[in-house]
Amino acid sequence: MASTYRSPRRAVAWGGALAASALLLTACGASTPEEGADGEPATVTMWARASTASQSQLLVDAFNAEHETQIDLTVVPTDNYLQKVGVAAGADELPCVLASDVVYMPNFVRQNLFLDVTDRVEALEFADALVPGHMDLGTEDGVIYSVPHTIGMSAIFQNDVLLERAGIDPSAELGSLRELADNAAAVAALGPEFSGLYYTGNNAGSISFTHFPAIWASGGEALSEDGTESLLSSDESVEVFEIFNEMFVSGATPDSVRNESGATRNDVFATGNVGYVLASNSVLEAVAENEALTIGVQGIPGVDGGVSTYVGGDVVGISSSCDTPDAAWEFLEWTLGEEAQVDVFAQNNILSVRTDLADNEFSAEDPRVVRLGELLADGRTPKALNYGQTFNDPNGPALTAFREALFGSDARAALEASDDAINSSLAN
Amino acid sequence: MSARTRRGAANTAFYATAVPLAILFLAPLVWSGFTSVYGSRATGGEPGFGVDNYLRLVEYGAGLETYVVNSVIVAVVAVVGTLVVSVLGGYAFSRFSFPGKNLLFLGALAILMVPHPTILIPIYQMLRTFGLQNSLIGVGLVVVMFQLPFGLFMMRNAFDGLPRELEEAALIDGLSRFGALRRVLLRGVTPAMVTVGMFAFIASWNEFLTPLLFLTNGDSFTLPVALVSLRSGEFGAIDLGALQAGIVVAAVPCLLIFILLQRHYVRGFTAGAVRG
Amino acid sequence: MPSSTAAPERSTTDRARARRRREATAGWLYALPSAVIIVILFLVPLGLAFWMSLNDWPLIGRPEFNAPDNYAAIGQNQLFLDSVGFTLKYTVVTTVIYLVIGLALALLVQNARPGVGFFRTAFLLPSAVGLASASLLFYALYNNDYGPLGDIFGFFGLPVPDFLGTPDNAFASTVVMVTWRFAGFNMIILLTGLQAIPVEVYEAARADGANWWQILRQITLPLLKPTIALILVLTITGSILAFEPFYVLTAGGPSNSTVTMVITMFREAFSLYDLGSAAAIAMVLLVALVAINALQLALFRDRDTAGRRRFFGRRAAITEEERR
Repeated sequence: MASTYRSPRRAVAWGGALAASALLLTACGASTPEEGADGEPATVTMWARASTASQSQLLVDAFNAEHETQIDLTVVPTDNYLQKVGVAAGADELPCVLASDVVYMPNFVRQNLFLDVTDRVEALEFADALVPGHMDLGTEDGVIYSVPHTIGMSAIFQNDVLLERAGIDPSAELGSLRELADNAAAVAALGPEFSGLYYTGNNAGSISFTHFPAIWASGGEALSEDGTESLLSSDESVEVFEIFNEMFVSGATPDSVRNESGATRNDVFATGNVGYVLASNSVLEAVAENEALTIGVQGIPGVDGGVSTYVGGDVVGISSSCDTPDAAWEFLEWTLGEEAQVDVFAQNNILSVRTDLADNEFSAEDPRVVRLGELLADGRTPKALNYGQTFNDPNGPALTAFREALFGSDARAALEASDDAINSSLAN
Repeated sequence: MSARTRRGAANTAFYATAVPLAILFLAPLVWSGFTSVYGSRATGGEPGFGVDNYLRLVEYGAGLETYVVNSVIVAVVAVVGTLVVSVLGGYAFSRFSFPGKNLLFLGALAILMVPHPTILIPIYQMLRTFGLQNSLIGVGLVVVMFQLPFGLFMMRNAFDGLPRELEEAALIDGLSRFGALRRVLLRGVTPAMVTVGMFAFIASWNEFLTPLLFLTNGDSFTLPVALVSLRSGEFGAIDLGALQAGIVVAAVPCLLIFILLQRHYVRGFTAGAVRG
Repeated sequence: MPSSTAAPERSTTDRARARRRREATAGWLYALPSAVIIVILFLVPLGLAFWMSLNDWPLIGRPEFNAPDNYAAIGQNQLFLDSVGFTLKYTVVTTVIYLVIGLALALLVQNARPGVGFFRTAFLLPSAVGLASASLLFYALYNNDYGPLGDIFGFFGLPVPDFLGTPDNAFASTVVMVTWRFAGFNMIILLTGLQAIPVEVYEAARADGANWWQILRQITLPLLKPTIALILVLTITGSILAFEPFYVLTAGGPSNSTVTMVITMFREAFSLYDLGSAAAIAMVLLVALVAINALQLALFRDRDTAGRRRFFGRRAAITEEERR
């Protein structure tokens, strides 16, 4: 076995040795190692995906300003994060600190990308206050591999201005998915340029992010507990998809939702012509208010009531390629501390990853952030080894199923027909 | 008289066809340039003209100039490397017979027939052997490899198009073989070299996957990687203003080179491909 | 050399042999940089990719020899099997379109006229835009909430198409994009072919009273055969390996209707982290392309050897571009 393992790499080394003389000149391009020697301040490399990197950058800047250890953050294009991590992992070239979309964590743990940080985490006095969904996905067989980094949670964002024009009280809480559908229809009735409900309908990762909470709030499940089986054809799930399907058919949800892969979602909401949008809390940062748009927040309700949210975002861990785990942990521990969570995150209207710090001097200033913080308590993060290839991959089996259920003629039939494909993707 | 009318009618027909077609071909580029400076993202407020999209670009990450410098380094390695390797190789293929020539030829051809994404992973492991895994030079060399089939064939055909008497005369004048190549033949294959160099530049300037996968440090990213990072938000949300500015910044150098060198590369094709 | 003094009549052959050896050495020296690049950056990695295709190759940890499992799995990979038909359809359509539009443009701009240089440049300029940039540009154009196309259709009283929303529309929209991107490049290749046809041939035909259509059918097209053959091979190789247009513009959608073979390979490698399966698909593609190209070479070989060379010279150009 050992010889099968070594031989390809040895073959490469041989080929390399043969040609080395010809490429001597290129040696000047070699990278320099980044770790400091004894006593010198260490430079710790870190990767984050572009869509959450602005938050990572705030933490890194604040940390670097007051520590000897320096964090060198590299921002990787979001859609290419998997590719980059895969290639680097295969070559043992991962950065010391690796942030990851939380849903990929079970797979990354299985691929041995992260070091065990169980003892370090358990030594934290606030260990119990770390967002439970994130902790769950970064833990396997009782071993902890990551800590929460940033929160991306799903919610309904509404244009208060438009709701008032449609005769809806924007401050009233949505009681149910059916009420959302009625209100959306009322907004759409204002005129052809107005849309009742908008969401990202051509992106499976996004649909599970915004639609699973409605299933949970209805008392159902989207996946089995071990993450190997789809429960999307269960009654609770089917009912949720049927309501969204009705909204699409009736025109409360515009046709363009079918093509929305996420690229223009924020721009569409920013026009002020949309009553409700299903999205993540990043909308509050990304979309500017104006006289036609005042943004309010609602939880995602179930068919007849209840409320839930999908707690996504990023976790962060120490990679298996890291030579300076102590320096890396110094940073990670600091990012979870009160200074980072309150003075850096909360002050910038960013949600804390600690439940004990959800209420703080800054969050109180924005009732929408307070509301998101409350919703977090009802949040869930689904755990499945093959979540990414099933629900995030644009060519995975979920997207076809979701689109057929949301925009086709029969939601139940579509979800039932796709069970096999989704189950086999989750299982293998 | 009738010939002139006929020519006049032909001209009218020509312009009536060519003008709308030219508009169709140029419109997407013009629109991209326009939307990069117009809209609410361009002003950061009410829709209008503004340069905010470009300012975001300039200030992004390590700063636009870092990425431009990195891209230029890759482009220089790619263009110089492609030219040196394919001029020498094209000369060898055109003027010498040596064992393994056909095999080498087939090896170069096969480069075209392998999907890049798969081959990049083993190439990365090869580059590691040389300590080139996180280096702009390594990325440049990979572009040289991908450009090699085109370069070799263009240069070989260009040398084929030059009369052998040219270098025989130079040899009689006492120049060495290499001297003849350098001082006499190069002038004859300049158009083909311009073509090869230009396509190497365009390929390296636009290359995305290789620098993305091979460069581990954000400060050494090239322009396309930075541009893709800049416009990406959660679940595929795109900053469309930044996108347009990025397309413009990526395209303008290539467009300029195309326009400036047009005469040469049209001749390069003719000299290299047709006469050969 | 001792032999030259020993047998004078053999010395000429020896000298010839020595000269040939010197020639071969010199040839190898000039070809050495190419050989180094091809061997180190291509053939050795290709060999490694082949080895990967014989193994279960995880990201971290031990590869395990499992041949021919990765190859057998291709037959079970429904996404890949579906992509074969789509890729072939795309290849046939683009080949015909590139040829017809490229030839039409080349005929349009072949004669010297005031401003003809401007038009040539105008048609060629899209080729300077990277394929990924071009895909993004059209992604924005096709977005009816953002791009102007919807408004333009509306202005003319036409129904606004859902450009990327249905399988047929997404396919057509992508073909329009790649045509925009590559038509000028094909035009310039055909233009060089046209300009190589001696003016006297046309003059003689015209003197015989041939009309425009007869000249095209009986003179231009036959003499363009090598160039046309070249474009055929170029487009076929490039289209079978098509990746970016569909990866960026349609993401293989809607509902996996525009997934090409290389997209499925990319997914195996970078989404499923199954390098063995991805390498196996790449090997199958390589063999198929070598076979297709060998067949085309055989078909055109007897016609014109010089044409064959031309053919090579330009094949490189397009596929390189096509791939990017």
